[in-house]
Parts: sequence; structure tokens; C-alpha cells
Amino acid sequence: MTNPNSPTIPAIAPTLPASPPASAPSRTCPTARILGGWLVASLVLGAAIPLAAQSPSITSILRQNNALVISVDAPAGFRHAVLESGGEILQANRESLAAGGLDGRSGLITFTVPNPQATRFLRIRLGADAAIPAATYTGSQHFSVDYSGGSFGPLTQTEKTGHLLNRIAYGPSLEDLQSIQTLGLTAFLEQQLAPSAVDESSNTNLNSRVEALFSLHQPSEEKHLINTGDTWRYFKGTQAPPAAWKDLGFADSAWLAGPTGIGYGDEDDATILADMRQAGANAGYLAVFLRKSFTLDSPADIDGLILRFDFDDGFVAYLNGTEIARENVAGNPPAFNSEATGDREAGSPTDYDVSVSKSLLRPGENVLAIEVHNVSLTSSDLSAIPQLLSRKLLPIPAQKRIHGIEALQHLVHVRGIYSRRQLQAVLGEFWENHFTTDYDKVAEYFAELRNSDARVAMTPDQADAEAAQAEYTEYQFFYDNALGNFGDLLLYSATSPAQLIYLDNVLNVKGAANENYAREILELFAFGVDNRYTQTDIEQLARCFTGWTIRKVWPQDHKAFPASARTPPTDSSVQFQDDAVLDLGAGWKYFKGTREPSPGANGTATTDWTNPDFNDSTWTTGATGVGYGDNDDATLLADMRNSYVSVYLRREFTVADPEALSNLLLSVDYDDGFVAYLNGTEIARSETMQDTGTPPPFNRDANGSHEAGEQFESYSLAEFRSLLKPAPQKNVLAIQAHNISVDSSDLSILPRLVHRRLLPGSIENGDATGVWTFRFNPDRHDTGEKILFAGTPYETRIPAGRTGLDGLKDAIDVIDSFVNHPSVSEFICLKLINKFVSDEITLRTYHDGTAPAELRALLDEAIAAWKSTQPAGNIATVLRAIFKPNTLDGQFWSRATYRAKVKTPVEFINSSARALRASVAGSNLPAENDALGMHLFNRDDPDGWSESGIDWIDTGTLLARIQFAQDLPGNRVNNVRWDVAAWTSANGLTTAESIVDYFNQLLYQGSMSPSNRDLLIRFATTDDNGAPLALDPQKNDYAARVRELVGLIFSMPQWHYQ
Amino acid sequence: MYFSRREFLKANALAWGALGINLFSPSLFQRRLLAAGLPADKKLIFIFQNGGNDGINTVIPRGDTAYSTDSRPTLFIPQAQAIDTGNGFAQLHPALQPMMEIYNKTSLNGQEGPGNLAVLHRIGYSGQSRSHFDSQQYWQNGVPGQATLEEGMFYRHLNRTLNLGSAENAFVAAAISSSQMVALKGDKPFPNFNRATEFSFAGTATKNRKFLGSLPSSAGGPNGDGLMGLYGGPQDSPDKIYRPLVHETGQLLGSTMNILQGAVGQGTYTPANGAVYSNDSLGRKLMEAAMLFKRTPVKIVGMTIGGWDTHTGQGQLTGGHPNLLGQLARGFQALSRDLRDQWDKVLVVTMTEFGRTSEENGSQGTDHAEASVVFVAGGGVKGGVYNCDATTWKANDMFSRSGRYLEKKTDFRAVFGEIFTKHFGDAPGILDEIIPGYSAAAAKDPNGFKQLGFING
Repeated sequence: MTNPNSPTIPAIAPTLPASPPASAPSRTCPTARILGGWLVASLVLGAAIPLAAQSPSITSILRQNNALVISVDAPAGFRHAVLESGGEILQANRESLAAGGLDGRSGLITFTVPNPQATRFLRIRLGADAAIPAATYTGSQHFSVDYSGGSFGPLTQTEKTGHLLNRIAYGPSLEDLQSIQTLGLTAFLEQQLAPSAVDESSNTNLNSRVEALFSLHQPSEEKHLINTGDTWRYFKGTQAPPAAWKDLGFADSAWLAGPTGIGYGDEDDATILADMRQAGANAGYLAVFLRKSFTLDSPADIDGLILRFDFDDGFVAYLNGTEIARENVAGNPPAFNSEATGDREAGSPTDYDVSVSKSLLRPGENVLAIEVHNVSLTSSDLSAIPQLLSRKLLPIPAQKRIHGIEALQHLVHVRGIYSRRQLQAVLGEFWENHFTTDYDKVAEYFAELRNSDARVAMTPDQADAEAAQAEYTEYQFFYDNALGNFGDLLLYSATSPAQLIYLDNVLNVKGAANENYAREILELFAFGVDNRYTQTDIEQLARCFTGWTIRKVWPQDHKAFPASARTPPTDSSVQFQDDAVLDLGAGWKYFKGTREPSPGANGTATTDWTNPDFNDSTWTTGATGVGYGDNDDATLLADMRNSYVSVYLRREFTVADPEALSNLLLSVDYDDGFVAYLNGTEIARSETMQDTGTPPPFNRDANGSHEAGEQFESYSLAEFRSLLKPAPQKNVLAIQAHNISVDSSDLSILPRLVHRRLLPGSIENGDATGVWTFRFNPDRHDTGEKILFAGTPYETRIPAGRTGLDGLKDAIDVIDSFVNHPSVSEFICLKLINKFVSDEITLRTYHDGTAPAELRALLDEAIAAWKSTQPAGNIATVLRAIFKPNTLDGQFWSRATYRAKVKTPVEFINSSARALRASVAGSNLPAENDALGMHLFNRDDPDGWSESGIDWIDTGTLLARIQFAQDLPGNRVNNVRWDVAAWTSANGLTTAESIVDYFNQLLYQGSMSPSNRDLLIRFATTDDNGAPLALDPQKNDYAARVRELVGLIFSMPQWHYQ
Repeated sequence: MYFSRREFLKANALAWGALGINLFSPSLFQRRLLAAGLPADKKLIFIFQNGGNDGINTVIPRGDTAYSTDSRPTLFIPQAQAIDTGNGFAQLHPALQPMMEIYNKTSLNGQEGPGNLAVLHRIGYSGQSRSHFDSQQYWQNGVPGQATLEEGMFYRHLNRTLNLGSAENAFVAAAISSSQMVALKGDKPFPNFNRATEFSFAGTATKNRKFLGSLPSSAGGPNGDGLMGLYGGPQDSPDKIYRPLVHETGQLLGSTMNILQGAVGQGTYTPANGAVYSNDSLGRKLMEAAMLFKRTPVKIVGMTIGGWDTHTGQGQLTGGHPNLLGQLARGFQALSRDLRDQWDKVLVVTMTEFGRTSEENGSQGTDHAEASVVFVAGGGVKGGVYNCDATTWKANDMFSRSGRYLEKKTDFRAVFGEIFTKHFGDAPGILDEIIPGYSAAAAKDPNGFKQLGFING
């Protein structure tokens, strides 16, 4: 390797553009090293050496014809340069081969001299003296300087290319390097700033992966054929049922009857099979057989059939005698005394799409039969809570739905790795993170919603799916409009259901405004913390947002932005009419809770007083509401305060036809807690009476407070409807109401029984076809005057008395005005500079002038660009001012900016996958990103993930990064594959040196230090114990060792920088 | 059941635990710290309650008539259900009951006990920020107004009193947290980890040994090997931002792995004296902190517990806020039992960025406000209630600031000033270095900087 006749320049990947010499040392390289067969050294002499003594370095030595061409990277501050040769490196007297003058700027010097055969040592000497030393070769054919080159001057073309892809893309990929080589930096950047210019239609790598994350949802209407709480016939499996038990014609009138759930244990059953569990002398039984007939006039009219079944532990279901679904049961037919083959806990139902069996349906009467099996005779529970629903497709186009939150998180990776619209992908993620929302909070909110029948609106699975869809909808808007107007992004975010839920604007009502969103739109989304606004402004703005909420609409009614924000619906999604079955008013009996109304043997509390036949003749007569304080009671308990904490009520009533009350609700207004009973059975209790006893004793305080007068709370009685007796039999509604403490200032109980009828046009919260959208509720809007930014040039007065939809303008006008507020242009331009250019400027250092002057000037330019458009705040225009695509100069392109940011986890992961051209399937990258600390769409705090390197480098995150860096090339990330054999043959890389040099060029633009290069090669050419072991493509261990080598390359300090 | 690879690795972290790395001699860590004459055996755990704890429902100013169902319609805690502190004014939320075994003392509340829990009310700072992020930063960096200062109070205390350049001090402080806490940030990184038991690479010991390699013979030198050779070796563009942080953190990764493997390798940790840590994130972190106190040289451990930003559905006797208070109280209780044999040396302190509005909002929650509560426990703590008594708390003081907030009475810097000087024994003269601007702020606000005297001696 010391033969001067064969200076070898390490090969680089043939597909890489602009092949510069590899092995370019950093400017901190040691003063002597071997390069291209020469031992070279550099030296700085003379006065006026800059403080940060930067050493010159020889970046390449090339043999051209009979000449030697030597490139030298020279720092600023020198006036001459000399190339010396000699026999020994420390030899004092050398021959000055060539020399020339410098003008003090940094630059790339080229010496061209006839090949000095006799010597092997070269040295470069820089001096501050303007006099040029004598040399053998002088003149422009031997000495030239490119003041725009070199690592101390402007970035080279190679560096600019790497830099651009590190910042506006998720790191370099071969495809994008080739694009830049073909188009040039300017045209490439222009395309990225106008992404529709990049044709993605044939990008199958991207399109097929994106498509796999979605499915089409066909809107449909579901109707219950059989509902929870319906009365079924059942047969206890102490023996086999008659063979025809599941057939339509089977006569089941001798079977027992009871409402579902049917089972025991877990307190989830209305019909209790007390003898089913084996205990002591009771033999128990393993299965129960259920039948329910239902009528359907025209089976041909339905498109689908769903068995929605919550069960424990196994079942087989039959429709008109033919099996349609089963789980955890073996045998055909199963033996009546066979155990379930697996266990399941009831709690939330599973949907079985049995549409293929709908041909079994017949006009008129049908029967659903189900046998439910327990996992063992001694199991602690069994349950059957079946529902059967017909599904009719609606004449609405199918909707695209994301598969779930993991698919959505994966979408960010897939776009980041495969899209050729890299800047759009980066910005889509950036805006989503800027206008951050938390999927978990949205899912929780949906899961707690109720339908108009007071039942939980959706299963946890549906809530998760709808939350993911809400997050996707939001992210997709930010992605689509990533280079558009900031004002649109801001207004979209403010009216996005995910954001309305996340920062509590859905709960923002007049009289007691919730400040959460008002604070954060100023602090985090638009102005920057404490940037020309006050606490008063937050309070005023919070009042502007009162009445903002969400609702569901049918897909065909869903408006696109901006109509969704500016002319939203004002009415509620559900309109219903309550017909009183038992209204407020006279006819009640009550008993003051100074003692138990029906004490048991030891004076304990019993529910005897709730039974229809309880003798209440000694009780007082009165009208509801009953209570004291707050002036909301028809019957005043003037002696209650400081005397007793509970009151008991009873009311007799009759119902002509209980079966007709398909949607019966208990509707209660109360202070502070209650437990209600129908004909002796508990049917409802308030949150504030949880864990207070069954029944709660008379002297028990409610364990929370609740104020009457706001809204009646509804409790579904669907599963208790069978308790109602038809007239002339009497029914009794009984209620015990409790105070939070004996000295409380008020107590109230106002109970009603209602039959609720849904009015046409309504859409339930749980309707899976519906789409969530912004709604403005004028009834909850504070119509008083509001004044923002008082005493500033931006003072905004919002007049009182804007009623109806007009009240929406309060906040919309304020949001629309934000793009013209100096705090907003400042803050958003700053965030873009922090994202794309440098962490080394903040609002504070911009304001107090301590940020670097170049960055302050750049921010000023960006702000000027922000203001230059109508409306202000066009993102592409601002980015143009930052990137300067036509001149490729300014701070973004400066050497100070180059590789001076730290990758966030999503950037670390995506750039690694791009560098390897690894094939990403499945959706496992989100879990990796989570491990690195960046769980997209799942951040609790509203400030979004940090863009600053200081927040991503600590021992915890570094461990995770380095683990990933090894796992990815090691093919240990599920569904992500890197084919070493194909990669090796495609790139012709078979030696440790060539692999290291390939990545040095691709990832680091050739800036790897020689000692790191040596370290990597040593790592690759030794065995696990450090003994030399050549890397041989013919050996079996080749691929595994290449994977280990690349794992170490991705673990380098340099790979964190961008 | 499907078991992902990552879960599998986590479950088997211990199986791979024998990394066999020996980058630093363990005996180094058994030597005494370079204590410069300070009581280096003093220890501290700080728990940051992220989100802003509602101090008013935590330590209830029962004697203030403004605490009522008028101001707090659904959050009001009835007198009968709260815990008496014995001072005839302040009551604790009932969920804090497990803490009482530390608080109890015959002279305080007539109950027998150690009296080792100080309850400090109305702690904050002048010019309170109601931004989570700024105020969290101030509480941890100790310099209100400097939101971007990424250097913590505890870091400065350690940097001022120990030689942090010495390898044996690399593990003197740590955060059990997925990201490093500002209170421990500084030029020299300290370790942080989510779980001590999982701090290792997957893979065999042999492979890991080769991968980790060795540090160069001199700092920044070219002759290291593997990962340590890269992070201990020459930096690219050393004048650029983040280079020292990245390189030092990488080296710290190796030494931290070594120490944690050593600690975890001593076997499953069993808390002493019947202590039971609750099965939640805080309980797990506190148990790890106690384990590290017993098995490693660590002196200061930090952690956060989130969820205190109770804008909606805060919960009165049950619900989100009471659950969090319960976790906190059970954590204090378990620590005080588990660390009984070193309790005299230990101090446990809570922090939170702000309290919450004295008036409940329209969604059964509270919004950002000002002063809140700090709990301090430890063998050297003089238990009792501070700043919440009939003498210092006037009627309606709940609304003493802007008619909306509880005004601070004592600056948090005075609280930590007392901890640095009395618990750690730092010379009062160096407080200005640990908490920059301390004496200037104290001169401007002498009452707010009057130390409360909650530490004995």
C-alpha cells in the first residue's frame, strides 16, 4: 500500500452521484496519515492563527497522466500555502514542490505537480505571511484555489445534497440522490416545495403499502332483531335437550323464560342460573340451551346479519336449525355435557358477521337457538348476552377508514421512507405534532359516550377505531395542506373533533369556561409562551370558545373544510321525544331517613321497602321533587339539614303494555346521590353511591357530590323491562336519596320514568356509519362582550349579543386575525427554522438579540415572507425564504448548519430504513418508535414532541436507539427485511473497506474520521473474541457479520446528527 | 398468546443480564465519594407531579370559609371525610391516609408515630407562570424566567460539591424516567432509564462484549474498539452543538449498564420491613429507587408521575385526582418502611409546576393557577403542617391572588435552599451557585424566602 505507482482511491458505490474521493478526512484529522499511498501531513505556521485553530487537510491525491493532483482543504486566515516533499516525515529540510498565495478566505487548494517518484512523504504548510515562498513549481497550472469549496468554506455539492436530504427528507436514499443528480438541487427543491409536481402514481413501493393500511367501510343501518334484555326460552343442560331443540318448529313453551343476560357470576346477568355451578351436593351442569323467536317480514330486504354476542365461555348458534357461528366448543353436535374448549370473560361483545347465513331467514317467524357451554363445572361464571342485528346497506358511497392507530402511526413511517414527496411527508408529521392531540384521550371520550337510550354508545373496539379515524382525518388534512396557508391549518385544528376533545373545548360552556384550549392555542399553537398575551386574554378567549363541541353526521351531510368550520351544524345529532310513563308531581310517599324504613333482623338495611306489597301507609304523601335548599323542591324537607342524610320515596303506577316500552328510561335530577328500585329490584344508582352498600344504610353519606338543576341523567331500563307488570297490576318505583353530608346546604331528588322516541333524522353517537364533525351549540355560548389584547394595536372587541350561529364568529374572527399578529408570524417562522435549520434560536434569544445574528436575520427574512402573501402565512413562501432554492445560499446552506441537528426518533428510524433500502411490511415500526421515546399520536402533553436535540439524547433513549440500530440491519424488527445478498451483489461490495466506504459516502458525505473507519474495519474483520478473521462473501457467516457491521455503523455518534 | 419479540426480550432481560462488560472496575464505586467534607451519605428522592397538583384538595384549608360547595360544587371534600392534621385548620384528602403513618406524632395529632412528614402549603414563586412547560422548567432548573435553561438545581448541587469528571461519580444521580429530567441535566450527563432491570442490549454476552468494545486509552483517542471506541473516540466537527453530549452520554451508557447489571444481578429485590409498593408506575419506580439506594452508589434519584392536569372530571373522593394522591401516599409509606435502616439519611420531596384554580370550572375540574403543596419526608424531617394554619391563613386567602388563585407564601427556592443546606450540608455561601439569583430574589422577597425550618438541626 506504499507503492506510489498505485495510489488507490477506495471504490464507492457506482450508483452514487458526484463521486468525490472517499476517505475525505474531517478537518480534525491527525497531522499525519496515509492517503492514497502517501504519508501526508499538514502544518500551520505563522501568526494570526484563528483561535479555533483549524488544521488544513489533504482531501485527495490523484494521479492524472504523469502528474499528481493534490487537493487541500484550507481554513480561513492564511495568505500562502506550500506543498513540500521529503524522505522522512519529521525531516527539517524539505523540497518546496509548489506554492501559491491565498486571500485569507477558506477554500479548496489544488496542487498539480509532476509525479515525484523519489519521495513518499508530503506535507502541506499554510502561513499568514503574504509573501509566497520559493518553490519548484509556481503559476496557475501548478496552484489554484476554489474559494467556494472545501470543508471550511461553503458546502460542496456532495455536502449540500446530503444536507438537503437530511433536513427536508428523512435522510439520504439512493433514489433521491439520483433525482438530485438528474435535476440539480434547485429543481429538486422546487419540486419538493410544490409536491404535486412529483408524480407518485407509479410509486408502487409507497402506494401498495399505504393502501394496505385502509379498508373501505360500507355505510349501513343496523336494526335489532333481538336485543339485550329480551326474554328468551332456556333449558338447563342437566340432560340432553330433545334433538329438534334448535329447529324452528320446536315447541318450547314448556321451557323456562327470562331476560338476557342469562348465566351466573360476575353480576352481568338478569336471569340467574343459581344451580349451574357445581358446589357441594349440587351436581351442576355445563351447558344451557337458549331459544328466541323473532319475526322478519321481508328477509330479502336485508343485506347482512350480525350476531353480536357477549358470552362466557363457549357457544354454538343456530338459525332455524342450522349452525351459523361457534366459539370454544367442539363436537357436532356438541354433547350436552361437554366443556368449552377455551375460556372467555364477558364484558364486551364480539361481532360475528353471519351474513352468509341470511338465506336461512324466512318471512315471518324465525328462531335463533344458542347452546352456551362453561369451561368447567366449577367455573365461577357463565354468561350469554346475545343480540341479533340486521344490516341494510345505505345508498352512501363506501368510506375509506384507517385500520387503527397502529396503521396510522405506520402511515407516517411509510410516507417518510417511500414517498418521493419527502418535504410534504416531513411537514405532514411536523404539523400533526405542532397541533398535537392524544389518541388515548379521544378513544376514552368516545368509549364513554351514550346513545339516546342511555346505553354505552359503542364497544371499546369501535371507540378505538373512531379515535384512530379522527386522528387520521386530522393528520391527512395537515399532510394535504402542509405547504398551504397557516391560517387554514390553525382553524382546521381548532375545529377538528380530535382537538376539541383533547383540550376539552367540547366541555366549554358559558358561565364556567374551560381555559385549556384557549391557553394552548396561544401558548403552543400560535403565539408562543407569554408572547404578547395575558391571563386576561386567555380568560376572554376561553369565553369565545364556549358552545364549541362535536356531533356525528351522516357521511353525505359532512361538510368539507372550511365550511365544516365556518357553517357547522348547531343542533344536536339526536332529537328525541320523551313520553312520561311516570312524571314529576303528586302521588309519592316518602320516609325521612332518621332510621331504616324496613330494618332486618339486626336492624340492618333491607330492600323490603322497595317491594310492591310493602305497606307504606304510615309514610307521608307528597309531590316530587323532594328535598331542601336551592328552591327546586315541591316537597320541602325543612328539618333535614344537620339531622338526617337520606330520604326514601315510593310511587305506585300502572302500565298498559310493558312490551310496548321498547326504550324505557329512568330520568333523574338529583343532589347528591340515589339508588332506584323497580318492583323490589335495583335498577340504577348514581356514581356518587358506588360502593355504599347494597342497599346503602340510611345513615350513609353519598361519597361524592352532585348538583341538581343542570340536566336530567338517564339510565336505560331495557334489561329491566320484564320487571314491569301489565295493568291492572301495580308497579312501584322506589328511590332512596342520600346527601354528601348531614350539614350540606341542599338535597334534591326528581325522578321520572320516560319512554324515549327517536325523531327522524337523528344519528346516534354509536352509529358506525356516522362521521364526527365540529358543532357549535349557541345555547352554551357566552354572548357577553369580550376584549382581547386590550391596549395593544391588536385589541379586538367582540360585541355582546351575537346569538345563534353568529356567536361562532367570536372565536373564528379571532383565529382568522391571528396570521396578521406579529407574535404568530414570529412563533411559527421560528418553529420552522428550529425544524429545518437550527436549534440555536428561541423566542427569548431572538427578542433579546443573543441568538446568532445569521439566525436572527433568517427569522426576519422568514417573517417578511410570511407577511408578503395575502392572506399572510403561506408556508411554501416562508420555506422558500429559508431554503432559497434559486441561489442555494444563506444560513440554511451554511457550514454552521450542516449536521448540527439531532434526529428525532421517527427521523432516526426512517433514515436508517432508507439508507438500507430495507423492505418494510406489516406495521412494527411504531412500536420501535415508541421504544425510542416517540409514540406518535399518543403524547399526553400538548406541546408535541420536541424538535430540540437536547431532549433526545440521554442514556435511556440512546440505549433504545442503539438497540434499534442493531436490530434493523439484523432483521430483528418484525416484518422489516434487509436482503444482504441482493444488496451485496447490487452494489458490488464484498470487503469490509468497501462497505464502510459506501456508508461513509452515503450517510456522512465522506466525513468519517480515519480512526473510526479503521475501527469499523477492525470490527468487521475480527471474530467475536477479537482475533483476525477475514470477511469472506463465500463464507456462511458473511451475511451475519455484515449485519453486525452495519449495526455498528448505525450506532455511531454521527448517525444521530442531521 | 402472541408474544412479540420486544416483550420477549423484556421478559428475558435478566437472562441476558450477564453482559460480562467490565469497562470500569466496580471497586471504584465502592470507594467513598469525593465529598469535600460534606455528608455524602445523604440521599434524596424527588417526585415531580407533572401537570400541576390541586393543592387545595390535597391539603384542605378547612378553616377558610371560602372552601365550600360554592367554590367547589362537585370537588368539595366534606369535613367528616377528610383527615385531621391536628392543627385545627388543615385537613388532608382522605386518599392520603397511607402517608399518615409517617405524619403521626403524639404532639401533632395525638397519634403515635415518627412525625417525619412535613406538609408545606402555598409553595410557588413570584411571577408564577401558568404554562406547564415553562413552570416545570423553572421548578427543575431553579431559575424562574429562564425557560430554556437546561441545567438543573440538583445537577448544580452535585457539580459544586463533587468532582463530576471522576468516573466514580458517574452514577451519583439518576432519573428513573424514559427521558432525562431537567433537574439532573447539565454539562455532564447523568443516567436515566425507564427500568433498571431492562437496561441492557439484547443478544449474547459474547456478542455484546465485542459490540461494546473498549474506550480508547486516552479521552478522544483513536485506539478504542466497538461502541465505546466510537463514543470515547474523536468527535466529528467537535465545535458543533451536541457533540460532547452525544459522546459523553454514549460512554455513560456503558458504565450505567455495568452498574445496573451489577445491581440487578444481586437477585430479585425484596422490600424490607413489610413494605408494599403499589402496582403502578410510581410504585415500581420508587421500589427501583430503594433498590438502587441499597445496591449502588446513587445518592439522588428523580422521577415523574403524570396525570395531575385535572381540567375535567378531577374526582372528589374517588376518581383521577384521588387515585393519584393514593399512589403518592402509598409510595411514601412503602419507602418509609423499606428504607427504615437508612431513613435518617433519606429525604423524599415532591414538586409540581403550579396549583389549580381555587374555583372549580364548568367541567368538574380546575384550571392552571399558582401556589401548591410540597410534601417532604425523611428521618431528619420535622413533621407538621407549614403555611396552612389559623395564624397565617386569613379567611378567603384561597383567592388571595387576582381573586382567582392561592398566592404563594414561601418560594420553592427557599424550600430547596433549606434542603441543600440542612439536608446535604451545603454551605449557605454557595447557594447562589446552586440556585442562581438566590440572594437577589431573597432580598426582593424576604418573606417568601424565610426558610420554614422543616429539617431538624
